[in-house]
Amino acid sequence: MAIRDGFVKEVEQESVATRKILERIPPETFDWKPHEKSMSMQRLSVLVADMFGWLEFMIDQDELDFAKGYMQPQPRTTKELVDFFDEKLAAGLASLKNAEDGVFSETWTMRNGDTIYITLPKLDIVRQTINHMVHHRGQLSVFLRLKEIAVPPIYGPSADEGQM
Amino acid sequence: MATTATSTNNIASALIAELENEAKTTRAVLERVPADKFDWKPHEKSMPMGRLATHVAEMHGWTNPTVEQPELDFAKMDYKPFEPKTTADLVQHFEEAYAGAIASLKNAPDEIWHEPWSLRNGETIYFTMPKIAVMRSMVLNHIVHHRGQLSVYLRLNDIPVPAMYGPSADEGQM
Repeated sequence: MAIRDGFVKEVEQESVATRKILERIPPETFDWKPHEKSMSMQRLSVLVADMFGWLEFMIDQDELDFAKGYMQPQPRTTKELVDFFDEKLAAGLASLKNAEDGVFSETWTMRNGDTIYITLPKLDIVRQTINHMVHHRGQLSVFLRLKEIAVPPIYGPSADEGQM
Repeated sequence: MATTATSTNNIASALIAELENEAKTTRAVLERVPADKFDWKPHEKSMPMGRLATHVAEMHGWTNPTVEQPELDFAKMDYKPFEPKTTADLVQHFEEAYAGAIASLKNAPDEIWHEPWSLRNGETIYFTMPKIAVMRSMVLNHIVHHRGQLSVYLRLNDIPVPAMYGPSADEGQM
């Protein structure tokens, strides 16, 4: 089994719950945040939607340099948010599906010009990116609950849906 | 894949490294959950903070049945959720489950990870997946998911959120 096979399966599996969550976020809640220090619903959901797309440049390139600019969109509708997710997911999966085992031992760097934040083997960076998405999606599930939006089952039933 | 007489445990080694790395963050979060907030919840349908934090801690212990057994049957379990009285109790519960998970993984040869594993309640089978997928999603990602929720609980109580995968609004600015 190639290294990519496990990752492809996992990304596809995790994307089911991610899409369900994003589809439930109404645009009128985009500016809402639960605390002044929190991200807004829009910013958090765009981040969650974007993250599997990072796999594209993590696999195909050797670094991300914020000094060269990194833009995220500001969707106005739920559909724009979900479309953004689908587009990024497709791009991330396409790169993942072409990744030979050797790619995962190459190093990848996140930097801002001369300041290096992290340098890790691509295997670790892909792993952490999946965990990182799961982390913020977990936060987003609390945002949904606080706005009385039904939380879909994620790893098991939620208080709203999917009772065993 | 060719099998050899000597078992390797490359898969477990990677899982251990990841668990160790994530545990630093998990410990940092759990240490900040104050006992006087254990009953607090952000919404009537939400888990209380003490229950959510205990869940994050206890899930590490799901590693053992994943590695050592072919299934987990709720019908055969007498599960009583641990109820911490103090933050130290909570952290201790985490440390025990975490140490048990690492010990179990150290004895896990690569060949076990493709074996099927089921979650069931007597005759009702919820799912059957390869052990590696169970470890990945139902244990590790599941921990990260609920720990993410817990980070919002901290924020809503004005408890500084530790840096997790990057800086939080409170700590670890780049």
